[in-house]
Amino acid sequence: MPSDDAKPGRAGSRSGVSQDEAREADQALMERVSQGDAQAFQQLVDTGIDRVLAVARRTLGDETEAEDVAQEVFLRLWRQAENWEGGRAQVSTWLYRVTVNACIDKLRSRKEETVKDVPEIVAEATQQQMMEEDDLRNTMDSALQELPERQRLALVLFHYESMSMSAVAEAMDASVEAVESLLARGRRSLKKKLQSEWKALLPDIPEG
Amino acid sequence: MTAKNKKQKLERLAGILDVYGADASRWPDAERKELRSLIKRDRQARLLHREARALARVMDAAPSMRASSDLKAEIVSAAARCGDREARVVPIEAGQRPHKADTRPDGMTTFWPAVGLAASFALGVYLGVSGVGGTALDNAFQLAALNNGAEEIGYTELWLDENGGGEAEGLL
Repeated sequence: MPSDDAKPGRAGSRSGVSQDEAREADQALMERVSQGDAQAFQQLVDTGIDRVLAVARRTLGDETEAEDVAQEVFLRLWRQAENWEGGRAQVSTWLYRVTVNACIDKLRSRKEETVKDVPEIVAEATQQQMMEEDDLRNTMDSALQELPERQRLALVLFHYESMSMSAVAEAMDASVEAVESLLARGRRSLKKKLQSEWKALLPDIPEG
Repeated sequence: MTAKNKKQKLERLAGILDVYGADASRWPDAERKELRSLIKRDRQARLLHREARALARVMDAAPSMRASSDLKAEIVSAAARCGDREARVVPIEAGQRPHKADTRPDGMTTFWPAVGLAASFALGVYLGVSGVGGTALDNAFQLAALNNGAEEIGYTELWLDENGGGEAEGLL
């Protein structure tokens, strides 16, 4: 994803470049895209796609759908770039917001088709299996997918994407207070669902 | 610290951990120092923080994914096929701007084959020289631009902003 309000040092940040500089670079790139510059578009895809995919994958729990979302988001960016008004919106905010909307749309169309049964991996998994990385990943993925969509989105953007509270609120078109509530409820649910997993890790967590 | 006061502070810490997680650098500035000091001197606070850190470690196991070069190439070539948007190389010399496709008398564009060519060209070039230069890729875009208006990709408007908040977002 192009520059954002993410915490510095997390995945996706550009080393040695301040957030302001990165933001300006994104704006300049977007100006070029708005003029039909194919190379600039390719650069935006290169710098932004991994974070769009990460949000979509964690929100949807499905790689194919996440790829569909990424494609839709960038094609929308390309098609609407002519109307881009620099200064009114940040590229990253726009991308996040469109990604969020696309994910919500996918989730809703899924619900219309069928109520998908989430596999009960948590219940079936044994303590020993939890020690294996793949199992933990699957368990975490299932727990995340079981959360209500807005709690999941808030956690994906705040925890995984390290976005600031205000940036999450903007991307989700919600108030900061609403996002705080979504995060708290989401985290509490995960804590409950994943009790055996995080408790198993406690001995490895030093005090303090 | 009275028992009541301590209880309130522990509740506040628990609330902050629920909202912001275990990473103190993400806690509100106004409360960080005090909460850190609470964790330092109180065993229950340390336990709460430890649990939050364990949960964060489990959460970090959630799968992510990175884009394949195929996917990037697909997106770039799909953009090249967008009929309602001209792609070109910038800067463009005067008189060299991509132009609309000529149309046959029956209204069909004359450059349908260019669409497929542009897509496969962009895909191949992207895989081969991504990051090196864009000349061939730009050619693909220019070809597609010649075919401007010829093809509508299977794009649907999925982007309705339910709350009408998109107005302030530039593109939305």
